[in-house]
Amino acid sequence: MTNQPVIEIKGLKKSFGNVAVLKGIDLKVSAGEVVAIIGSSGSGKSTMLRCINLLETPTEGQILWHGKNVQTEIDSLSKYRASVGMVFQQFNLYANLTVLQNCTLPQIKVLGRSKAEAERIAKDYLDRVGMLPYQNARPAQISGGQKQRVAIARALSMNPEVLLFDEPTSALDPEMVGEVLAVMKTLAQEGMTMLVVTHEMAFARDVSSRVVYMNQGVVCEEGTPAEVFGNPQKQETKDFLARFLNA
Amino acid sequence: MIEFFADAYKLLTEHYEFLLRGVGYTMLIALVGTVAGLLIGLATGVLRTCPLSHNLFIRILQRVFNAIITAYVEIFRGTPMMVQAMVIYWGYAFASGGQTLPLIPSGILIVSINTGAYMAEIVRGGIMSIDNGQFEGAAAVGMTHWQTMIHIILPQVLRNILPSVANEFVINIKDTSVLNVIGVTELYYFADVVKRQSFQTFQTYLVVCVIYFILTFSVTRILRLLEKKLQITDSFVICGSQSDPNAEIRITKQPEVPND
Amino acid sequence: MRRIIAIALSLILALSMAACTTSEPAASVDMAAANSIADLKGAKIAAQAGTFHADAMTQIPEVKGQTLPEFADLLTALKAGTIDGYVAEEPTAIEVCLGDSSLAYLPLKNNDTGFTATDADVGIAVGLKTGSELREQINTILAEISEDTRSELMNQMVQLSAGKEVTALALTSDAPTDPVGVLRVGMECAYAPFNWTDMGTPTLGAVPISGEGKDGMYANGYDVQIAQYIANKLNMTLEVYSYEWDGLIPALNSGAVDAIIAGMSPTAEREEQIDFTNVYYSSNLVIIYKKK
Repeated sequence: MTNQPVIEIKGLKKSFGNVAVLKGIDLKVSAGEVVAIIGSSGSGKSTMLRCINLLETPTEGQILWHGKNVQTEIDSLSKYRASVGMVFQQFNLYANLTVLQNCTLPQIKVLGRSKAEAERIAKDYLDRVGMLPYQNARPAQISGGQKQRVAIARALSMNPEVLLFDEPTSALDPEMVGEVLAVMKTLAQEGMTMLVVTHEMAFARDVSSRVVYMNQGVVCEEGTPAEVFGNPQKQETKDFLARFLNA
Repeated sequence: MIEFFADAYKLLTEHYEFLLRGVGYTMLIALVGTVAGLLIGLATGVLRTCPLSHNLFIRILQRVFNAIITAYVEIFRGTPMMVQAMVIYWGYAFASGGQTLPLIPSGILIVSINTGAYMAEIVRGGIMSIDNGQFEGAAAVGMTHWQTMIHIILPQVLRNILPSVANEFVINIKDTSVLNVIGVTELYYFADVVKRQSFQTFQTYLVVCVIYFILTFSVTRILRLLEKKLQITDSFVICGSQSDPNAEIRITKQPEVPND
Repeated sequence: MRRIIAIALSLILALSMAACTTSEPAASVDMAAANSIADLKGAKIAAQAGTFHADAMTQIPEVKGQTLPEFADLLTALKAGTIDGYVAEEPTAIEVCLGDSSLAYLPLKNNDTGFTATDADVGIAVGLKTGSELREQINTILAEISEDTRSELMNQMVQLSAGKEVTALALTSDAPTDPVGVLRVGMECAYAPFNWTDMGTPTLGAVPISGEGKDGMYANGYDVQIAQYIANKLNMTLEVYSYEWDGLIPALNSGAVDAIIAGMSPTAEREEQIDFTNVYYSSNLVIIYKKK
């Protein structure tokens, strides 16, 4: 049982109307892995990530969570989503709540924690992402990088087994990218299981344990960063990396 | 001219007790009707935006319910409140074999369901104006539709639609006047009675006109203050009223402006 | 530029408002000189909608007729000068002219100088639900009231509603000590001297109007006194409900009231919907006009 993957994706297909976005994805993620998913826009990276926690309903195929099909075999969608944290490109902080409330509300409502316990945990994580001084600020009052750090603290407060990052730095000004990546790097080093959809090639190369290159709705190539970046096998991967490295 | 205003003043001093009572009932019906209508609007808004269930039976139930809400909204927005009052009041009397609904509660009921139909659209517009990311941010941590609505969406919706709600309140103060057709003793009803007794049509309506204006103007000012408190900078113009079935609801999203 | 637009807009507004007032000024006919409805040829006459008055009005040759929903609006129209006169029953006309010295009425006589009308047109009767067993009982009670008592009572009601003092009513009866039920009667309470509303202080013989929010409002008038008499004789307690004219028949048919005593004439159209007792008052239709 020890080598059973935390998340296993089997033959995942997703279409929007007549447009097939995912054309059969197979992927296994084990505990402690940091998987970077790269690929050009429209390759289906984000859609795959959103299928994992069922923000999108798969058209075909299965998502297995510890071997159980998340659409048919798990008891509670809420509990499942709580253990799979998600960080969005657009942060999606609750606009009507303060930074601290953003981190405590899901704990109280979904995990049934007491307010005091939720606040203790939330403050701990806010401190770790360096946002504790802003605990009473509203999302509208802080910068993009700060928002994303709060979003990460919010996800961590739920004590998830896996964290999904959907292009977490794409909406940020360049000078704010660093602070968010630094937080993510620390998390990776602490052994958090992470799936990161990203355009930050340096992050994929230096931090991830595995790199998945997606192209046109399928997994084109995967391997260690050294394999994918150092010695890509497929022509598409080479072209993609060449475009990025020359850019 | 002097004589005319003297007549109007005399009407006011002679009948102020009744006019005051009319003001009381008008404000009571308009206020309770607006609040109840808002609650109807919020409830229908939450239900209508609820994602379809995977359970077939519940899904059919949801579809039926959505159809009922749509019919309710269309019917009550598409017919004059005066006609609704007549149909409900006399319809009940005929159906129950002579029982009549108590007047003030039926006035409140009519205004509530009429306002509810408008509020349903206002709330729906308000919910749709909320960025989809707010829903996803809540869904991704495992919150249910109900929890999301109560704790995250509706507080934002309420702040955004406050100007429209205020507008409905002002409209209701004026539109309760149609309830005199079933004998609800609101302000216009007493105006009618005073007019019949005094035969001074113009003077009576002038006095009542001024009273209505004082009511709506002060309510508008008070609610404007409240909006300022809640820092609503954008203008939200809701066109239409109970008397205009083609009321359009346009709510633009609140831009993110730092508070300090 | 802005000034030009403003002037142009106000001109358009003024023109459109002028276009709305299509009716030419009234007083095209010398009302005071008229002796019969034939002399009123071409006059602008108004009547309350949904009454026999509105039908009778068309008997005037080439009349420019107009109907208004409420009786009180007719006087407003007359005073505003949009009409030459309006149709009313003689007691009403007397009452109105007592209260306002600028008004007078043409004392027309039905089926003579005035309008052609049957008793069903101008007589007033108690309206009851079709097949009601109260009809015979009420007819018996009405028969007890003599012609003299009726005209004396009407005279008193005219005085009362014009604000004059009346010490004792011509028609009285004892309230039941042990009533067997309630007689709910519907009327407009807006058609003096037949039925009107006292606000605050009741006049002699007035009855409180039933219904929510109607505290301090009393009904009085010829109809109210007749209703009170009938209720007492039926050994019942009287409750008066005020409804819009068009709401009276629905109120009776739905069972919200037991009888209509509202100066209502037993016309053929109404007979199709409800039953009527014998006529309890009959009056001439006259025309109220403004003195020169």
